Amino acid sequence: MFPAKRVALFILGAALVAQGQATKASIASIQSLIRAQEYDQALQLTRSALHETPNDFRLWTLEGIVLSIKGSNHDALNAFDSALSLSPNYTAALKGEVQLLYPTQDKRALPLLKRILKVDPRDETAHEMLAILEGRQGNCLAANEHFLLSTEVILNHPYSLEVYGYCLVQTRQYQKAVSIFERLATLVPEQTYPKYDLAVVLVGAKQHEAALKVLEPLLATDQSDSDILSLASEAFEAVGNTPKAVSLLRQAIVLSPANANYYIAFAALCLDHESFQVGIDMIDAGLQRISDDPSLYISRGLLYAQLAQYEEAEADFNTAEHLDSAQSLSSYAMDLTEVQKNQPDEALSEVRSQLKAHPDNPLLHYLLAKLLISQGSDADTDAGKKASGEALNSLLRAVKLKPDLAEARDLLASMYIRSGRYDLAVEQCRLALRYSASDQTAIYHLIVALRHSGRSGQREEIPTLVKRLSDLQQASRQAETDRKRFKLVEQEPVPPQ
Amino acid sequence: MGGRRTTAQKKPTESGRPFDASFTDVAASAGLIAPVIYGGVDHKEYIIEANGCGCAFFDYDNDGWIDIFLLSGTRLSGAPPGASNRLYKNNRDGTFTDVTGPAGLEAAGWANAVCIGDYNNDGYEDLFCTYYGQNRLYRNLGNGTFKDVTKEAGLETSEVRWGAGCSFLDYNRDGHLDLFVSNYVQFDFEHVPRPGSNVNCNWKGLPVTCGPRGLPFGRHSLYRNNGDGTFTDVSVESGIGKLWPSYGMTVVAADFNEDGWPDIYVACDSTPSLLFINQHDGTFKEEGVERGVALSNDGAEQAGMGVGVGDYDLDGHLDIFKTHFAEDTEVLYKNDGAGNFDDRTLQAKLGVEIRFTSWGTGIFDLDNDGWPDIFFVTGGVYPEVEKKLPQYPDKCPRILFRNLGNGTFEEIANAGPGVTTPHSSRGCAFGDFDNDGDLDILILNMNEPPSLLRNDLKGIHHWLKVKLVGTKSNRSAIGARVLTRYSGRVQAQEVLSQSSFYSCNDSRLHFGLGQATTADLVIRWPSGVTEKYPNVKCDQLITIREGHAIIPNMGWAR
Repeated sequence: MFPAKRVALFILGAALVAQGQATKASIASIQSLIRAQEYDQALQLTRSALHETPNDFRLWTLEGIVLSIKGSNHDALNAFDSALSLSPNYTAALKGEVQLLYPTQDKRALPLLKRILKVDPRDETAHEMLAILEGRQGNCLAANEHFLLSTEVILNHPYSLEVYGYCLVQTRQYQKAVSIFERLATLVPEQTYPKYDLAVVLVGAKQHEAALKVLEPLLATDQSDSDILSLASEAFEAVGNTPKAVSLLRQAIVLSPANANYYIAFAALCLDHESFQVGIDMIDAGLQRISDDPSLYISRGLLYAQLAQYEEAEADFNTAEHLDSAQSLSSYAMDLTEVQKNQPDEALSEVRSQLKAHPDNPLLHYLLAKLLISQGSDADTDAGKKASGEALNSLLRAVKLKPDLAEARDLLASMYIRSGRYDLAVEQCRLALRYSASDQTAIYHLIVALRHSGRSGQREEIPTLVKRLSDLQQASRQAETDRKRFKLVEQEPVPPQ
Repeated sequence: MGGRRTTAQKKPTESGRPFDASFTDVAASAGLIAPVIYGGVDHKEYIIEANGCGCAFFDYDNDGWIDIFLLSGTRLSGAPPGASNRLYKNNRDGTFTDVTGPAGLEAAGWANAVCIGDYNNDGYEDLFCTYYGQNRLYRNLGNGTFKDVTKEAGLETSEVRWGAGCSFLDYNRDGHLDLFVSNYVQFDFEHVPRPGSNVNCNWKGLPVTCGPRGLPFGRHSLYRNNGDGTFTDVSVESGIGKLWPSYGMTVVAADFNEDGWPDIYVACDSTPSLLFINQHDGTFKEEGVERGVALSNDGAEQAGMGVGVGDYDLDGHLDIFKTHFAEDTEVLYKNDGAGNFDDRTLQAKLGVEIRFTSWGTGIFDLDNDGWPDIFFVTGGVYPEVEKKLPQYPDKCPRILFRNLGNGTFEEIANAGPGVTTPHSSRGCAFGDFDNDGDLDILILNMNEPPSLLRNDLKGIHHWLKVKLVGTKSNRSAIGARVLTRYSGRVQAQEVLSQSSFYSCNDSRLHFGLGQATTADLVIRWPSGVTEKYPNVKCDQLITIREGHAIIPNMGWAR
């Protein structure tokens, strides 16, 4: 990202202010020796001067520079630290130390860069470096702020563009991410990865036609990258070309038969198209190669559940749990199966036990609440009040752990409606809709809650919500029709290789 | 059919209270032995074979004993001998005589619904039957025979439609019964896909009949009675004829918002159900979603089939109970009196039973304890599935929930063999065929003879039946509302032309009174006239003629 040469320039740009204890003559002499690449002599002279004036931060900085050039990074860092202990905001020392820490993405560079920016808030290079470090730490909101302040610089830096694009995706700013990845693709036209990244973002932004425009030229020249095939499959499915989607995904599986993700994607296609047995057969083929991947068992279990083959489903979820007890999805799926088998007591007991193993799993908290509510205990009995209270707490926990878990917010709203706390219901509905604007349950609960809220101003919103719900229902029906045009049928399973 | 999938509510502890009603199927001994032909027996190729049809309890000859009318379907290969709608005359001794032929009602075809009403105000109840193809209006000539007057009444159509639910109602309150007809889907044998041919034609991975999802919506119709034996199609100007995204099924016309004008509720399969609110000017406004009766409590579309209307909580307002597909709960909507409803399914503990696809239903007091119970019939639509997935049987038991009087219900495990014996049922009608003061149940079974569940009620609870005869209002008094006060409670009922599933109940309103020996009645006639009858004695049928107080009962009614 930042080659040593560029960082060296960055440091040399920092002025060594000739003020303080050491004489101008000694500083100038050392600088001359460095420029003449007489590093040993420069180091000797620096140390001699330091003997005379040990509190001169400029001399410590020069020693750090010489040592870093000589590759003695540890000693160099000590020298810069000494300089900064004497003069904490001394830019040359700050930059020198950053130069050493940055290549290894050392977190200690973060406060140093912030101090540099405190001294010079317009330093775009520092903003860029800070942005990258923040981005790599997963602090994308902070990273985005610094990328914004280094726009001019990053436009020609592929790695910066890549990290910026990643962070924009993480913060759901898909449209901005698209333009960043487009710039990246222009900057390195010979590379495939920027186009792939761009297509990933476009698929994420549900701009599937645009994604296909990027992907199709890649597919035309090379069909050996299974990731591209899989991504294109997703885009083709989204635009209603299921046969192409299936064909590409099968190709991806043939190219990378040990990649579980492709089998799982195939199973998802089969679930969408209610072609459950075909999905099971494909997962079976996958399990011949990758017998220890819990996700494959979860996928097959879900398919079995759709066929009402609950025993087989449960066996798969159990296997998944056995293979990786740290993941909690199989627990959730197992509990769902108990629910589907209409065994709510067993399901409740299972969920409670699994919550002990996965106390921070929002889905399990949500499922616990759902089961407690479905018990339908009398609100006016002690047991009913206890169950209701536990359900409420579980839901509040679930949305705290995962604020965008709209299903939990919907259930919360439902509970509030049932108990006549309409304002709280309205609040949950609006939060659910913030995360999922097409959440029909949230819109319906909002209509019900507003109707009861007794505030005429709020009730005026109802006709608009009814229209919005109707439009969404229509769109859902259309999507379902489009999706259900195709049914997957049996082909020869992928042979084990 | 299809809708949301949910999970069953946990069954609460049994109350331990005795339930006094017990039902015995007496159809065979009563002479109801002809099977109801409807599509394939073990396999259905098209959805038209699956939905089945309705039935009616009605007194066609005004002798004071309710008779039986059963619709029938046909087969893809053509109607087998004996496939016909059937009219059975009540012999007043627990048996019936098939009078279909002499009555002029022999007809085979894909019949769906029946609604009853005296559309020409001549004092005899007429029949309207919906069909895939041409609906039929039969005028009761008053001499034991009927005449098909579809064409002369202006109800003949040139296009093939799938008439589904229907109801007579006096929407403009001119004293003449108008007619609403829901339409299910646009269907033709040429273009509907075959089982398994696409995803809409599979269930649990097995190929089954296609639809309704994936098929074009039907368009509903409203016909205004011109008062001269003819009707005018007012679907467009009334707002009914707009293409609502709905697969319409059972229709109930009643005054849900209590403004004195009848509204129309349509149970819809796999789409939001519809509530058309009467605007008093010949038009209707659809407000199902905002009034809370279109969707489940989580805003999901449900596979609405049958509708029961009654006052389960004795607050004087008409509530709605709607039946759905298997793996979904039925739904109970509580009316606040202004036509706004709240989903009370789970609070009422009705979510405990989701195993079966459910059809005809009613909110009726079956044990006369003063609290209306809920009964519904069940049956699969994909008979072929049972072979591979035995947990989804085609023939299933009937379901009875007794009202515990505290806003909750309790499923009764054994209310007699008539309830527990499995059948694949569709329509059902409630009425007192033996005039013994309790409610019996007529049930239409697919490709079997019907069931006639005689209620052998024990106990000492009291009852009251009210027969209304309109004068200024339509003669059938359809839309008349009775508020009955007893033991400090008030129960609302309204005379309906259709409810349950495509069916019509005994028009004599039946009130269980529990321990009460008298009741105070308030009658609001469709004309707007209100009459009060205080301190009416229990355990009797009374006939009230609009503006003429209580009159002698018709015929031999006890």
